Amino acid sequence: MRTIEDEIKGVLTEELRGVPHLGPVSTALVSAISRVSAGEEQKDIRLIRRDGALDHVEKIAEADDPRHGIWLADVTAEQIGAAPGDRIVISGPARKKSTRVAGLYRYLPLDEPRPYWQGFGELIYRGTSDDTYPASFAIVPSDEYYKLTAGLGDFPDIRWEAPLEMPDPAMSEVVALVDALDRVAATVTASVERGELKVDRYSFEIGTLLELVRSTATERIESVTPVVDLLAVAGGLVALGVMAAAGFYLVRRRIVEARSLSARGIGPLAQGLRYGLEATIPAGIGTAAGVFLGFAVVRLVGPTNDLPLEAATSELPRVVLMAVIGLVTMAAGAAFAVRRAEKEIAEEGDTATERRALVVAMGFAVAGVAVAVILRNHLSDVEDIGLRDPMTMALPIGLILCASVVGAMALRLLLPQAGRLLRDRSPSLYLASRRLAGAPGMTQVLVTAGACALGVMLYGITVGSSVKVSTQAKAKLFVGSDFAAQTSSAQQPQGLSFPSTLVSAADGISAGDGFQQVTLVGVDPATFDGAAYWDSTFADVSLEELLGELSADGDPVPAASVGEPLSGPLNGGGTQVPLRVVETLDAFPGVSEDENAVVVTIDNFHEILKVIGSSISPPDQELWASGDPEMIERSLLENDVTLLRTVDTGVVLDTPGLQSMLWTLGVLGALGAAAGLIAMLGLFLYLQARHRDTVIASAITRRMGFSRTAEFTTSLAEILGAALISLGVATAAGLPVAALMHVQLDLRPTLPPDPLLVIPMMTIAATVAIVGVASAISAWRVQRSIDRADIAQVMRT
Amino acid sequence: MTGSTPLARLTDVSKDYHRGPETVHALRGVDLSIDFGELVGIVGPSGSGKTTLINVLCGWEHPDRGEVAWMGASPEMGRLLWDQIAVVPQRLGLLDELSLADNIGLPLMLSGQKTHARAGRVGEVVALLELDHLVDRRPRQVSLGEQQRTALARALVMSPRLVIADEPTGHQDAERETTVFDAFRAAVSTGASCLVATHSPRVIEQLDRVVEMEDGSIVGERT
Repeated sequence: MRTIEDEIKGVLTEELRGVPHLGPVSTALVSAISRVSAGEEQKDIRLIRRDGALDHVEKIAEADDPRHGIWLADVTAEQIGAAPGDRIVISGPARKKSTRVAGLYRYLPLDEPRPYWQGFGELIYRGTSDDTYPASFAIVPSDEYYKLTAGLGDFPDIRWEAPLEMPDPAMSEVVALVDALDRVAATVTASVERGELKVDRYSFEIGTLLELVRSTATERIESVTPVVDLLAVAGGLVALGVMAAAGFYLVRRRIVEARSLSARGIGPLAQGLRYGLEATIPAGIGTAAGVFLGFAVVRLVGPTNDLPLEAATSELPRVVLMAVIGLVTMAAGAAFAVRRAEKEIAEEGDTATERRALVVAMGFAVAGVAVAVILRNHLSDVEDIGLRDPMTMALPIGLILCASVVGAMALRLLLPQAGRLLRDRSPSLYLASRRLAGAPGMTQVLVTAGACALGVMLYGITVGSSVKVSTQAKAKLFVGSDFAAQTSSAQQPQGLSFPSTLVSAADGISAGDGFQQVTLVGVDPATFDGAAYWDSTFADVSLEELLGELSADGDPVPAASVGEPLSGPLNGGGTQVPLRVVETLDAFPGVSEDENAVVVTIDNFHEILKVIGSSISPPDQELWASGDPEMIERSLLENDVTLLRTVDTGVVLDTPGLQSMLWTLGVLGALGAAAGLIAMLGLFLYLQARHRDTVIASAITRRMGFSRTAEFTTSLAEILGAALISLGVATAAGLPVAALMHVQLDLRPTLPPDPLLVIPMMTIAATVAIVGVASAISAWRVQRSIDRADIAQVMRT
Repeated sequence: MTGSTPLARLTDVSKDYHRGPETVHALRGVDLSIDFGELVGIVGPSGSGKTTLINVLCGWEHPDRGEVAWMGASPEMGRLLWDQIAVVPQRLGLLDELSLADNIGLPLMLSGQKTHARAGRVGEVVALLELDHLVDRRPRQVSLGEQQRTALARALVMSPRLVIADEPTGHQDAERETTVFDAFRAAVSTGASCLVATHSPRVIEQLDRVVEMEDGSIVGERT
């Protein structure tokens, strides 16, 4: 054994010499699971020998001579009733062996994570699909290990490890390292197969955990790449649209200059190029700011905030290219505006044109809804939708765009009607409504763009929140609460800082004619409603009413049935126990969707088992608790509550599919917010600029008795009205689409409760507040420019 | 009101403004009276001070020297509302978002009159200036001449005491010029006074009094 251990260590050390980022090879001997006892109670342990192991644990207590014997985990020692210095018996694969407890160390799952034990994580911590913790380590000093394992008839696993010494590896580095290690593995394996490296009766295996890291990372990348690409394209199109609009706007602001230059023979292309060149520096600043902000947003809402700078710098060539394309697009927008000015094309505004556009937009909307319905009917495997199907993410955005166009146009057509109501009540509001109704094309575009962008923001936030809350609710139904643990204690733990309740369950009970199998569930009415998860859709009565009915005295025993109706009395022990079904429930916490159950109070539960308990398996007892699962588990362990098996909602929420979906929806919401901000800012600036041309009209209306306050009110109403139209249309477009889509993204459609729609009221309220403040500032700026205007000078020019 | 007190009187009014180091004497000691029910014209080349004179009368500029009296008193000219002094500036100042009818009725609306109450008076001035078939259009949907007549209708709708118009026939053909002038005559016949800055010989012929300006001063006056 020693020869194999040292020989292979030597070979590996030599082969890995050329592989970068690896530390020295170390050896560990890990036995199969044995059982340890100090008396009646037996517990599973795993003998381990590793150099320096005792230097990497927290020692709790030790015997007088800690050099001899084995070190047990404190939890294990407590379970078997052993103390340092005590004799214990280890039962191995073939024989038993007696040794002493040299000392106690802190149970590793409860200890702070230590890099030394990282390579043994699967032997220390509970996996996401495991119900119980692995057997604790029994640390054996080097010279005693072989004696002990030989005496037990155990052939331990020998592990050689080379630690990774590369913080924050990039994907490319991981790939290169995996390839190098694969080559080493192939070389060593070939040596073993040729017999050059002798392993005797051992089977030899060599590999790297980095492959798992690489495959998991690759899977996650592949799941989000299509949608991220789509979002990137959409974001790019939005940016190009903004650039084109900026070019158009710049020319409109300097329309006299543009016409003068045109008259001098400087055509649209030349003028457009000029505007593009003028914008180079601001575009450069904006691009740099965009890279910085994009990096910050991804770190904030992305799957990890550990994002290397290379993630941004590696894309710089593409960023520069997009910036150049943006400037070209801006120049094109400016050229178009110059061309239009030359031709003195009348602005759109006649009703017939709007009606046609309305019909077209409605057609798109109807088509979009139809496609959505068709897709919904064909969506069966939820794992394949969402991230792997960009259309599922693109379609809602298309629907929101159509709805925004239709909504903005419809409101614009309705504004004159509203204006007529205001004409005799408030001249300020009437004038504002007329300004909005007669707004030129640019205003309409900005309002619609803002509506679409904010609609996408609300859609992303709403669906993300709804999916998360819905999944959490379903997880709670599955678990029973936030956290559930099987315990050996029949008593409710005292002094806990969170709500908890004990639930007992006995399954496989025959009912009626014997063909129905039910699970009998016993709940404590005093604590159940404080800790268990409940939704009003589970029953026609409240939980409080249900528990009251179950607690009522009477014969037969009151019970609530879940699943199929109870076909008759419970059978067992040669007798029957009739029940009185007081409620039929659609669901019950802790009862899976394909399970039939009968719920009674815990006292009645025990009484029933006294009668029929001899013919069924011993019941399970679970402690349910409400709160943060990690905190609950830690608290229970610290309160010496023995947990045999645990499950919590975090397991469900931590799945890659859900996390990727939530991340993508978060980015979508952020993109919508950014685009909405740009559109709103553009709207405010454009409306301010338009008012600069109304100095004379303002002077005239002042002579008519239109006060400065009334003038400010008109400006504020117009600006705020445009912004609120945008936000209102966004809400009307985004929320219904979110309501449609969040149902499709239900990860467990057959599991109650129904998907919950969480409307982001705080986000909407905050957006309204921001829009209100920004509108007031814009109106103040307009008023200030009017006040500062020299009307006499304007009249003279 | 008749008698020796004129509707408006400018006494030794001077106004300078500065263009960098240069000082422009827009008005130099101008004396001018406008009687009740009088149609007065101001003529002169560009830069003679016509617009400045109008600005001072409207209260948009304050004279550096001299006095402006209104019916014998010296109010803040800028505070006189549309029923006292109505203006047709050269750049018109129509509201693009309103129809021609709404532009014309705007003074009445801002004075508190309801829609039905002002419909009659609006209809009168619309007919007077031959805008009947255009009232539902917006300013940018009609010609400059029609916009000009709209601005004049707006000025006349509240029957002000004084109508000041700067080049009110600049975009009118001969026929429409007569229409405009007839509107001024109609206003004067009800007791209003009109002050018109113009270059049009046809208009000048029909004025009660013509004041000639040059280089900021009144250089002549004829009836």
